[in-house]
Amino acid sequence: MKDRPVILYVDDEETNLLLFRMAFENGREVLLANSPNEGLIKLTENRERITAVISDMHMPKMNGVQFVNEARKELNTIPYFILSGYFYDDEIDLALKEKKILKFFTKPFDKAEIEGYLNETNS
Amino acid sequence: MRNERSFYLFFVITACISTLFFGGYYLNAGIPELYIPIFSAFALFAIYGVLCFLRFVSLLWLFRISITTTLAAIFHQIYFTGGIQSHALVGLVTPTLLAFFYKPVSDRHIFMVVSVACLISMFPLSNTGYARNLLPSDSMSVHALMCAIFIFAMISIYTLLFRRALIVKNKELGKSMNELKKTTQKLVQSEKMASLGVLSAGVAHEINNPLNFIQNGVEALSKKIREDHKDKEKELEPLFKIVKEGINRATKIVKSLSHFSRKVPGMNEQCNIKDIIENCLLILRNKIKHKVKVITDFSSPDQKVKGNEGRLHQAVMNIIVNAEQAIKSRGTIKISTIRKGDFLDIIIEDDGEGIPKENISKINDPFFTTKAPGEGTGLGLFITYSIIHEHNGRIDVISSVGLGTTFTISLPI
Repeated sequence: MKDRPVILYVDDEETNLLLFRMAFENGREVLLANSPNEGLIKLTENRERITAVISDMHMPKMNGVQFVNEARKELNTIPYFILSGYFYDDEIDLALKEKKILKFFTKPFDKAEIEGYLNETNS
Repeated sequence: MRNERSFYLFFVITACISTLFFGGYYLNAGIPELYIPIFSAFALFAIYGVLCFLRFVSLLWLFRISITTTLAAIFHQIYFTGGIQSHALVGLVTPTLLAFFYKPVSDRHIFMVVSVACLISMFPLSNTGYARNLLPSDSMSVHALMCAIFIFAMISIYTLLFRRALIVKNKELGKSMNELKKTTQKLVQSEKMASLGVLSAGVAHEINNPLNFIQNGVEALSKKIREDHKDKEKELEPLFKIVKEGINRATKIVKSLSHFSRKVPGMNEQCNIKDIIENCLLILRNKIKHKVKVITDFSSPDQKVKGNEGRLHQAVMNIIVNAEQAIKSRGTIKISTIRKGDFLDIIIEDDGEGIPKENISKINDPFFTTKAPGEGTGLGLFITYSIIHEHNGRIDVISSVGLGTTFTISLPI
């Protein structure tokens, strides 16, 4: 049997991290990082296992798209998603067009929608 | 400026011809005191003409020295012909000096008065001149007429030249004034929209995160209860439903604010207005079919405008929904499209209850609503207004209470 898929979620708010894990830990291993830097460290440590990354957009020091750009240097074969409380903007638009991120989700998140995308890409 | 220059050249040519003519006349009469200065004036005018042509001296100064030369030549003639003794001299001196120093800012008619005054004073002046017997008496009236026409022409040209310059300047000023007004209005509007965008994006972020806590916290909670306290599920279910409804409403309002954030996805789609209207009607069909009869008239052959299809859907939808809500029992909504020049007009007419006069000016304000709490946010028409604004279009509303409302959206093709 295949291993459980491992996803990484990056958000600077602890509550969001907790909720995200509760929502998606069924059938998955959810790694959490509360800053882009920690996210990059976890990504390096688990690069063999991680199957998808979801990141918040507005975080201190580095925003979601910048984080994805950095992360793609480390691991370019998996899908990246943004989950943000902000609106769709030019930066997101560009990242979507350049296929740096696969999809832009908004908070409050729709569990079924994200689940659908994860299932599609993680099998 | 090009026109002013050609006017000046015309003036100089007239002056040259006149001086040549007068000079020849006095030469023929054998009066060197007169023909020498007049021929010198001719030479000076010729030089001015060349200067004007070469653009060495500014037009204003060229004009001033030309007037001075002309006046010197005329007074020289008057002095030698004896006209200086005439009482009519004042009639010539005062207006010509006035014409020289007066700045034609407000009253252009003054020049006409001036030139007529000069004209009239010429006859007695010339007549006095003949009293000294310097000129042959049989050419008396010809000489007087020549002098008069010369002065009249000079001052008329002066008037025309400056009047023209004034009109041109005024036009330019008016034009830039209008442009300034338009730009200011645009700036104020876009500034408003921009600050609204920044504000709504900030508010949305701050509200979306706690909404996320609530939504997914409640989700987890209800799951836990379903698993561990099956007996309480029935009792608690309505409460969860209420919480979820609250979250949904809040989420919807926050989402609708996203339309004010200036960053909108592509505005370059070819949007078929007919399709957009039909889609909106399809979505609303179930809601309206028992109450409203919809008549559509897409007479314009060209139904395409450039913009964002999703946003235009939303704009049209909001107006149709409003029309439907204005109809209390039964009624008709008429939707038509007409091409007017470079614009496509979408006309949405209902025979509902209409908008009271005092509310017409408020319908585009954010959060203005006459609906019960929870039924309308008051953002619908405001969103429509900003979407149409983004597309460089405009919305007009005509409404009378009891008869209905007509919305006209004009979009550039």
